Amino acid sequence: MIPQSRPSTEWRGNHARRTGRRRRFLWLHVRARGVVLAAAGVAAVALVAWWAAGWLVNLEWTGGADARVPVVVGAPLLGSVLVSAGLEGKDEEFERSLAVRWPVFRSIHVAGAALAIGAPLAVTGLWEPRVYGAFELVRNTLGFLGLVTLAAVVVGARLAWFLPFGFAGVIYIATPQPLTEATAWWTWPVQQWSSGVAAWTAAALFVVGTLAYVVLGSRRAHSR
Amino acid sequence: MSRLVARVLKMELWRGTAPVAALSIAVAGIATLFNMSEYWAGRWAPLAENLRMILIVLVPLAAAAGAWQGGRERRRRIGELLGSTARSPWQPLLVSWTSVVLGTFVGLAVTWTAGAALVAPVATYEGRHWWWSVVVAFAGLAAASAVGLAVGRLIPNRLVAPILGIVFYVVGGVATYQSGGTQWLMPTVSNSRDGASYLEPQFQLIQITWLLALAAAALVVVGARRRWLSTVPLAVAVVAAIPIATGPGDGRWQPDPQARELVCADGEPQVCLARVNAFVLDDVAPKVREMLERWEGVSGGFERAIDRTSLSRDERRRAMPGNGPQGDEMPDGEQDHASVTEPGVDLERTVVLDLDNLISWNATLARRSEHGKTLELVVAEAAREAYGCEVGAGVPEAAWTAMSVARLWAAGMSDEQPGDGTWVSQEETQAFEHLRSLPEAEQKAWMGDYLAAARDCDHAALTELAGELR
Amino acid sequence: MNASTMIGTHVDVRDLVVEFGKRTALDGVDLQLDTGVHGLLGPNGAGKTTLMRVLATVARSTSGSVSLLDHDLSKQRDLRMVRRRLGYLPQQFGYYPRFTVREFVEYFAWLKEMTPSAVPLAVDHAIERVGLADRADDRLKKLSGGMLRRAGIAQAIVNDPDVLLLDEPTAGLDPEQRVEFRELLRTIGVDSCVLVATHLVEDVAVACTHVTVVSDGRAVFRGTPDDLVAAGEDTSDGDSPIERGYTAAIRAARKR
Ligand SMILES: Nc1ncnc2c1ncn2[C@@H]1O[C@H](COP(=O)(O)OP(=O)(O)OP(=O)(O)O)[C@@H](O)[C@H]1O
Ligand SMILES: [Mg+2]
Repeated sequence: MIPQSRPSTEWRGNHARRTGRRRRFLWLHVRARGVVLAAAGVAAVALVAWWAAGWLVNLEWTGGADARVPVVVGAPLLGSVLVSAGLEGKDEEFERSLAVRWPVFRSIHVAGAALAIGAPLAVTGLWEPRVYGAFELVRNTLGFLGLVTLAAVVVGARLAWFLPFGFAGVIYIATPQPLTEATAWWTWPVQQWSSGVAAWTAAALFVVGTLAYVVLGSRRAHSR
Repeated sequence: MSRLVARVLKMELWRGTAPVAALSIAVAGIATLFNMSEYWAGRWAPLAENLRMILIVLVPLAAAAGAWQGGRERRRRIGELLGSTARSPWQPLLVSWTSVVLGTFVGLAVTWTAGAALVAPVATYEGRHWWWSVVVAFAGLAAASAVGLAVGRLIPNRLVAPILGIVFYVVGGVATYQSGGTQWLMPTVSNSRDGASYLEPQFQLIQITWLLALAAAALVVVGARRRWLSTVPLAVAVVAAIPIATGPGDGRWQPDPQARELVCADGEPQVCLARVNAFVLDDVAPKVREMLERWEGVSGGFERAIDRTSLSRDERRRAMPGNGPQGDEMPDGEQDHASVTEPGVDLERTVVLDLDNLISWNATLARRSEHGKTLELVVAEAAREAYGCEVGAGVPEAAWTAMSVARLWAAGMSDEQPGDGTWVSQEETQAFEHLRSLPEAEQKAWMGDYLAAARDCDHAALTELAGELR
Repeated sequence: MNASTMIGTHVDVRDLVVEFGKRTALDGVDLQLDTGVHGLLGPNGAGKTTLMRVLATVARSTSGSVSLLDHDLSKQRDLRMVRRRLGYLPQQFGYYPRFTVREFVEYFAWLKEMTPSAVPLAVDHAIERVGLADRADDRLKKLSGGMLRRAGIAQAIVNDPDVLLLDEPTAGLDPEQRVEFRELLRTIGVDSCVLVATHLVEDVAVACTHVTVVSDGRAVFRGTPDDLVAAGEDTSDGDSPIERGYTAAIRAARKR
């Protein structure tokens, strides 16, 4: 096929039709995966986190920034639980049979989720002092998303919430006090940003989870 | 209950959320309970108190399990089939809830039993009314799973379970931040009382009523055809909630004189622990006596040691450096109790033992706590606590040095840092080295002078004593 | 247990109208059914499932009267009596994947308020009748699509219903199973009223004693399978006599 011989107007029309179709497909995809609802949920979480952090720190007897730990753990956790359902289609087997480059879609999905949770939380987390603020919120967002995507690969997206949920529940109270760097590899969600191990663990979880999910996708459910 | 119902319940137990609930609650429960074993090892009432504390994680798990079970009919699209059957919907709902509740109960029972297995062989005090606390914990899980079940039925989304869990977690956390009576609306307890206090059974019965009425209201809302019937249990719940919420917060704790009664080791000098802590007396007494020996020949030196748990609030304050926090009250709002020390006992010459954190999971004395505390440092603290003035900006540097040196001497430290988070400065180390290099009689004379000056709050004398060591 | 001899009419539907918002799914259906196997035919969207759901007491009628086993469905107290004597297999069959076949059937026996002592035997019998005896202790999630359908049928017949409503029960069954299933229908139809909605016209020809064809929410034909064959003698659209009859009935209804 020789491009020059083709009338340019028709070519442009064709192109427009193609992008139009793609946009329509994207919109259907967004709707099918419940993205709108999840986005509304994340926005609500960010607002509540913002308010709760202020409330906690200003309680008369709480000891400053440490009081924000529940927010720094809870908000990213809620965010990643909210987006977890969207990691898989209503009928995963059917979707996979479609001629779509799913790895690309999946990467966009995870990146979008990270951005959609991380960005609003980072904005609402610009407190003074910086301890237990935007940095920790972003780190935990990445870490929990890593757990969600890993769990989606292993047990399917429908139950993926269980891993970060259970993990956060246990570490929050099982963390040895006082916090030390030695346990940071598993207590990363409650560590301060200054803990390098915590940051690296969260980042590694995110990378491993995303890679596994992009390559393998969510585990297909048994139910018909 | 007919055998058919029993079989149906068995199916629900094995095929529903119950096994997951039991497992996750047992795992989370044991992990969290044993992470703070130093607070309850060897003691019944603190075991119950800590069981209530870890509800902050277990209640969300129970709520999530309930919500997951409640959403099952919708997830499996079986409502159509259920709608054509004769049995009133509340019956399958009740069976379904019972299965979840039993699952959570098994998890909690396993957790408690694991703790009890460590307590039973060594406990020296049977405790008072703590089993009511355990019952409240179970009622709390029942209520959480019922509310979860109802919410899971009403809201059509699979993420209801985790989100509800997190919401319950936040509500529970906020409740423990409350100082008033509202904290008791959650089954969680905000902090442990070391078994020295107890909650009235009547009060805990009200709590149980509130929790179970709440559970009933939640179940009736989704189970009964006539939803308005739920106003009956709801009214009961509200009636029970009013005295809880408007009542005192920490003031609900009643001192338990029996738990605080002093149990003394045979022989001299006197070393006594509260009855509730007496199971470590055999570990503690020889070590403490060894340390008390050091004070022999020091004028005004310490000649006995007693458990801090046994002291009344006033006595505790007197035992603190500078006679305790000034201005505001002691942090615990619990009610005071009468002194248990014999009349005429000289508190001034008594070492106050604070065993907090010093008991290890197997109910023996820990060599060093998580925070670096050791028994030696606890006993030595008495030297510093002898200081009788207000602690604050007005204290001259030299007085600090003297106090620090006295503590190091009492602890029998050599060159190392105490390791409990306190830091000994270069200057203090040098002063301490100096003191140690003196003949023993002179060391004891210095300590005697220090005690007299510290108790009199004589800054000039303290400065002079510190100067002697320069 | 079997009171069928005393029942006047098993299913009595008069001028039934069901509307979903602006859409009318059933538009004045009259239907009287007694013991026997009744086929319900009709194109997609004709209202078969809607009719089944009304009879199964899960959907409400907009107007008209429905009575099952001489009980008026609009009365709350009668509803319970009817439901005990009812068997229903919905078109969209939901199930609990972790239950075994036996547990699932037993669970429904309980929901149908059967006499507890009769349940174990009835459960075994129902599972045997649908040919799942060797898979009775398998989890439902391990069954094939057709086996699931049979587990659904077992659940529907466990209480020896006087009115059995089956919405596309043969979808997904293999030929051998379909033959056995028709046999099962005939046995049940001896003293119960069986209503089978289906698209498989041959099933109707072989297994049913009566046929009703619905189209656009109306009952456009009622009679025996032979009557339906006779109605199609003039047309050539369709591969079998009964298919020709079905096509003719629908065409005639559309012309009106
Ligand atoms: N819940 C509902 N809400 C709105 N419309 C409905 C609903 N259920 C059915 N309908 C409509 O009622 C009409 C009859 O539907 P019904 O399911 O009874 O058809 P059917 O004969 O069973 O079709 P099929 O052979 O495809 O199963 C259809 O037009 C359908 O769109
Ligand atoms: Mg249909």
